[in-house]
Formats: sequence, C-alpha cells, structure tokens
Amino acid sequence: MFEKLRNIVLKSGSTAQAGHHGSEPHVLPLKTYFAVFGALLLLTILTVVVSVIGLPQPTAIIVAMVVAAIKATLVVLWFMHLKYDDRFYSLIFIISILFLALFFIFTSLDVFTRGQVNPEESSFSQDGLLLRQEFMKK
Amino acid sequence: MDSNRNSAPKSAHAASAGGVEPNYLNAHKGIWSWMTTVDHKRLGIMYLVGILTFFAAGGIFALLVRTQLLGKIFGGPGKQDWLFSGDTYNKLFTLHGAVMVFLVIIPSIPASLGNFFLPLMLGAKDVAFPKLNLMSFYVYVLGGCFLLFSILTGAVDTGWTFYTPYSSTTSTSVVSAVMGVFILGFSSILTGVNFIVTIHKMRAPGLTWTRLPLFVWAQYATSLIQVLATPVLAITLMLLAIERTMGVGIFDPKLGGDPVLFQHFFWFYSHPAVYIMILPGFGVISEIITVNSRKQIFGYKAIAMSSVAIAVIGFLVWGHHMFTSGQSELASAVFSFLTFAVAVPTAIKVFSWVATMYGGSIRLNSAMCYALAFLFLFTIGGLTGLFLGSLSVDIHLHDTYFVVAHFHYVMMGGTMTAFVGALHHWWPKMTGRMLSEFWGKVGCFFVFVGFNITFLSQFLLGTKGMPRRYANYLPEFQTLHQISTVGSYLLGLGFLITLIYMIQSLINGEKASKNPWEAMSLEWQTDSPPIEHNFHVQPVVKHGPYEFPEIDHSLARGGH
Amino acid sequence: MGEQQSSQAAAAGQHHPKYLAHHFESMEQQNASGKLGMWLFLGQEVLFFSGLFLAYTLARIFYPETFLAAHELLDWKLGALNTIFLLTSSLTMALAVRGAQINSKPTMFWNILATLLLGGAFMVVKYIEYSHKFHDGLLPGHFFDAAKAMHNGHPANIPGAPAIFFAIYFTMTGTHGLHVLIGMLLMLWLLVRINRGDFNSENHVFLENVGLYWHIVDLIWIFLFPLLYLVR
Repeated sequence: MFEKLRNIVLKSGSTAQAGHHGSEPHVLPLKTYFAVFGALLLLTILTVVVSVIGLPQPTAIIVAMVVAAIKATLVVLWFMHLKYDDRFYSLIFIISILFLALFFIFTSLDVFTRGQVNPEESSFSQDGLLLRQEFMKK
Repeated sequence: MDSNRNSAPKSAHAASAGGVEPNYLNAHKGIWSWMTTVDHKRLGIMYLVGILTFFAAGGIFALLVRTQLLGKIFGGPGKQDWLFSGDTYNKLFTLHGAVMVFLVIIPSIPASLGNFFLPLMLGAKDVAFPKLNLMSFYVYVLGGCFLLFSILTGAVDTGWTFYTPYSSTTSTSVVSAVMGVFILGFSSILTGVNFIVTIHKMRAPGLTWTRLPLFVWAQYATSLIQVLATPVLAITLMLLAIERTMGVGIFDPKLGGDPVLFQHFFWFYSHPAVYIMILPGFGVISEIITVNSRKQIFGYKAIAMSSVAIAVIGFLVWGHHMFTSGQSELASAVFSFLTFAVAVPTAIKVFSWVATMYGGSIRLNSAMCYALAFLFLFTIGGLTGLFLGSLSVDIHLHDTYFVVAHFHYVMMGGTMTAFVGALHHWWPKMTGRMLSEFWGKVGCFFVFVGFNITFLSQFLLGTKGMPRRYANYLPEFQTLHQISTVGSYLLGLGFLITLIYMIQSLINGEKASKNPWEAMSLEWQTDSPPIEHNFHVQPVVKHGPYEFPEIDHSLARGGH
Repeated sequence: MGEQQSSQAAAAGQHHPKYLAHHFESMEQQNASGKLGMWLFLGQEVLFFSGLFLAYTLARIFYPETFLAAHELLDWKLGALNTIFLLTSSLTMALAVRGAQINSKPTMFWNILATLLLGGAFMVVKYIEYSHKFHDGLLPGHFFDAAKAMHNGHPANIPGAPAIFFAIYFTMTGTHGLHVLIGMLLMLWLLVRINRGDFNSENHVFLENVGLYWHIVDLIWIFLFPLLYLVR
C-alpha cells in the first residue's frame, strides 16, 4: 500500500509526465451525467421520505448521513471527474477528509469521556445538565 | 526520461545576450514596478522587509514588557507596575505574541526566503501561480493593517490565544484583531497551495524527489500544514467574532456552550502552526550545516521523511495545551502519549545534523555559528517540551514562566535563529553583497548569550511558580526577573548590531561571487543577485544537492 | 511516450501558445498545475467547513431536544427545493466542462448561464427563508426573540438553547451562501470569457476549476440539507 501511495505522489510530480492526463480530455458520454443526476434526485427523495417516516433517532441520522455520503461520492467521482483524473487529486481529497475525521475524533474523545475521574466535570453529568438548564432559564 | 528533456532547447533569453543581463533588482525601475511585481524574488524581498519591520515592532513590545518586569529598582521594593498599568501590560504582551506569531514567525522563512529560493532551488522561472503570490502578499499587508487598526482602537488584552469566554466579553477591540488574523490565515493558505504546486510541477529536468534540497522538503511539509490547518483557524476566529457580536454562546458556558471547545478549535490549528514555524527552520539548518561541513548529509531520506512525519503527527497532539483546562483525563493521556511520539522524528533530525558535522571539515562562518546556536537552543527547547508533555509535571508547570521559556527556546531560539542564520547564508545571493564575517560573529555572540540569559532564568522562575502574563510578582522573583531583563537587552543589542552591518553591507559590502559557500544546489548556479528569470539556461540536474566535489568517495559509499 | 512529449514541448516552445504563461514549459504543465492548485484549495474548503460541522455535531449532542424542536421552524420543502436547484446546477456545470472538452462554445455558454440562474434561484429561496426568520425573531444569539417567535405562531417553548441552534443555522447556511455568491460572480466572469472565445479543449482549466469549486459548494449543501432541515 505504501508503495502504491509513493507511486501516486511521484507520478503526479514530475513535469515530464504532467501531460499524460491533460493532453486528451476524457469525455464522458452524456447519458453518464444524466444517470448520475437521476441517482442524486432519487437519493434526495429517499432522504426526505426517511425523515418523514420518522425512524428512531440513531438510525435516522445514520441513514441520512450514509445517503448524503453516497450523493457526495457520486458528485465527486463523476461530476468532478475524480474517477478519471490524476490519482493524486483523490489523495489530496481523501487526506483532507481524514484530517476532518481526526478533528472530530480527538475532540469527541475529550467531550465524551470527561468526568471519569471527577464526575462533576462531565459534559453530561447530572450537575452539568442542571447547571446548563439553570443558565438557560436566566 | 531525463535525457529526453535535456535535448529540448530552452533558452528563450539565453546566454547569447552575452554581456551583463540586468538582475531582478534593476531589471525594472520605480516603486510601481515593485508594487505590481509578480517576480517571486521581489515578493520575497517585500515580505522580508515587512517581516523584519514587524519583528522590530514585536521586539520593542517585548523589551517594554521586560522593562516593566525589572520592578522598581530605585526606591526599594514596592509597587512593581512602575512603568505602565497592568492593563497596558496585558495589551503589550498580547501584541508581542500576536505580532510575533502571526506577522513574523509564521511567514518568516516560508514567505520571504521560501518565496525567494524555492523556485531557484527547483530550477524554475517562478512559482506556479505568480499572480496569486502577489495577492498573498497584499492579503498579508491587509491582515497587518487590521491588526494595526486593532492596536490604534485600544488594542487587545486576551493574549494571542483569544481564549473564550474572556475574548467574547472583554471590552478591547478583539473583532478587528481576529479579522486581521483571519485574513493573514488566507495569505498563509494561498502561499501553501502555491508552494505545493510549485514543488510538484515546476522541478527542473533531472530534479527527482530524492535530489531536492532538504529546504524544499521542509517547505513542502510546512505547506501541507498551512493548507490543512489554517482554514480551521479561520473558521474558529469567525465563530469567535460571531460569538462576540451576537452573543451566540457556542463557546460560552453562561449561554450553554463549552469554552474547552474553543480551545480544541484553536489548537487544532495552532499546534500544527508550531510546526509551520519550526519546519522551515529545520530545512534551513539542514542546508547550512551540510554546506559548511563539506560532507554528504547524514540520513537524507530520514530528514526528509521526518519533516513529513512531524507535519502529520503534529496534528495529533494539540490537546497537550489543555491538560489543565478540564479536558477529559483519557484525552489528556492520549495526547500526552502522542506528544512524546513527535519527539522521535525531531530527534532523528537533530541526530542527523550532529552526525553530518562529525568528521566534516567545518567552515565556521556566521551562518554556521547561527546553525550551531540553533542546535543548542532548539535542543533545550525540544527537551523541555517533554517535561511539559508529561501530565503530572505539566500540572505544576502549566502557565508558568517555564512554558514561556520553553516556547521561546523553540520559536525564538529555533525558528528566529534559523531565520537569521538563513539570512546570513543566502544574503550574498539575495543582495549580491557579502556580510561582514567579524561583525556577524559578534552579533551572533550577543544573540546567543543574551538569549540564554533571558530565558534560562525564566526556566528557574517557572519551576519556582512564577505565573506567566502577570505585571506584578512576589519580591523573591525580582532578581531572576532582572537578570532576564538584562539578557533581553543584550539580545536586542545583538539584533541591532546585525541590522547595522546588514545595512552597511547593502551600501558598500564586498561584491559576492556566484557561489561563495561552494554549495551544489541550484540557487547557487545562477548570478548573485539572480537575473529576472532566474537562469540563463534551463538547468539540468545530474546529482544530489550535497554531493560536494571534495567528498572522498573511496572511504565510504554514499555517506548515509 | 517520453519522446513524443518532449517533441510536443519543443513545438510548444516554438509557437508559444497564446494562453501559455511565461514560466510554464507546456500547456499540459500549466493545466495540471492549475488543477492541482484547485484540488488543494478544495481540501482547504473541506477543513474550513469542518469546524462548523463539528460545532453542529457537539451542539446537537448537547441539546438534542433543541435541535428536534427548533428544526421544525425551518421549512424542509424550501430546503428540498434548494437541494434540487443545486443538484441541477451541478449537472449543468459538469455539462459546461464537457462542452469545453468537445470545443462547443454554445454548450459552454448556455450551461454556465443555466448554472448561474440556478445559483440565483437558490439565493432567492434563501432570501425568502432568511427574511421569514428575521421577521419572526428566529435569530442567533441574543437577537433571538422568543416572544416575537411565539407571537408569530411558533411553538412557545423551545427547550435548551434555541439561540445556539439558530446561530449554527445562520453561520452554516450563511457561509455556504457566501460561497454560492462567490461562485456566481466567477460564473459571470466565465460568461465573459466564454463569449470572448477563451476556452477550448486544450485550454479550459479555469472553467474546470470554477466547476470543481461549484461542485464542492453543492457537496456541502448535500450534507447541510439533512442535518438542518431533516433532523427527525
């Protein structure tokens, strides 16, 4: 895997090789675009329907996010041509998502594990919630 | 592949011109030609002037802070806020921090020397996006103006970290300062994008990734952080501005928010930003030490890869700024562990530099003196970081002068020493003049000694419990504070000497040859100062950046 | 392959194509640089919005009941309409880029115009939504006016911190809307340049980059729509 990554970086690198993607643009057939568009519309309807039915909470948000992720993937791969473009662009995009994930994971690691030694420091402890509600009233 | 490229004739304005081709400084005349230039070399010089100006300003703020902390010498102990009030003191240290971090250290090496030398080292005519480069410069100036506006309208007293809820409630002009930093962030992002593309796409024929000078690798790692971390700072500061103007409360416990969340947001950028500051310094030191040791660098790949490793691991340690903030114990433990992990690639670098010098025939010019000072100071800065990364020790040392001394050893003793050393190393290329070696060493001596007096005493103050950011202190701290202040004057004197002989060199310095340090990387193959389009003929690279002719290959193969 | 390229480069060096900047060797190098720069910028955009999404996530976890109650005050039908506008505009944008690849000036022009108009339609809907919220006092932070909201027939008591919900709603949609506006300005400029005949199958990296930008704006909305309008 490491070798593969290395190749992606090196290939995108040198000026001598820079041309082999751009010289002849990869033209997709029109029907691909319309198929992707149709799928996007269907998925939009799906996500609305799921919300109107009203699934129980953890499931509902997971379904909504999975559907959104599929839609995003469709846009990225076909509308943004990532499927056919220099692999290095995909790498950049994936890296940016990984760093977003890092941001979420490490911040959550703090927020959800507070108060294990001093319970009153918890974000969700009884005291914490009471305090928060008290402030809300003011 | 390489040989194919060589055959193509690429001498649009080749040496056929014969005679003397004008250099980048005198190719165009007049202030307007500077204001609208897209030449990376001129932009580098303009950044340099801006950065040095702000460095002087930030330095004066620091000297004022230190002078206040002398305490009242004459007339016995007593009231210590003798020079100005505590409020003014708060503003001064905030300005010192904000100016030094956002206007000086972050852009110092990348924006000035990086702009000037990256394309030269790559054998390119310019960076990939010259107009974007000009725009970054004006964005930088605009950000500086916002900060200046903030100073004129009452300054900020939050510290450079803008912690909520104080920053969302204090009466000082936080919003304009925050806007300034927000804008400076975009300058940083655009420069980062520009450099990454330049390194990927603009390399000369034959300049493979393993033939890049290590300065370029360091710039690459730096740019990655600039692109990936700075936008988070932007959004954080935007949320802070909204919080302040609209009383939103995402970060305010009184309104149902979480102040620790702000610290997460802030340090997600600002810890990696520490590596934005130091990585280019590492790159500079790799160049200076190798060139002046006349020896193949020890562990080229290890140094290059450790830059990238530091860039990545640097994103995973931000919580070590928050051990006492109420962050969860588990998170603190994880962050503490990862903090120690950062020490590994950093130590690899220091080890490699020392090993590079071992057995080399060292040329002790003033740039090399600064590099040695860097090794000493940065190692102290790095090792004291390990104290602070340990959970229990940090509880005692948090927010004391120990922290202040630690990050000054890294930022000032590391980055700024490297920056000044780099100025000495590349000064002949940039200006076409030599610097005085004698006065260079005198300046370096004062900087080194002054610095250590200033900040070693602060380590002691910190371990004794002197908290940072206070205008007053208990009488027992006075002696150490006074020693520190005297040291800061020596440090200031060192920089003043440096400024004077630099100006002297510009006026009547000895003319520099093409390659006064006999270096092998591409920037030294063109004229001093370089011509407008950098090279007379497209250079072609056939060897690594440190394969000096006098290296005796019969003794050891490769050298690493 | 290498040989063919170097001969291309040499040929390029001789005529020096009209749109080739002085510091590049070939159009390929110039185009690839432009696109790489844009992808890096998009990575930056992802992280720019990450802070907002994280603030949203944590606020929602702190105040689930607030989000459930307050999102009822947003009109999901308008949100869905806007989703369709943006998805369609993404399609027309992709078709415009295809138009450049096949050297069809009218395809480029009309598709960019359609994208611009769809972006405009999105902003009009946003304007309607915003002015409604302003009128009803559903505003962020201390501008949130519970009495006015009640007066205008909204549920009397939103539990938790409605001010934070609306702060996040306005910040997220506002930042996104700003991106849409910037995209529309870029498209106006695109129309001028298309009309001038600047783009063809060899030289359209600017068009392509605006397209990439527009798609990322669409992509962010794909996530905003269920998160803000379809909490249930």
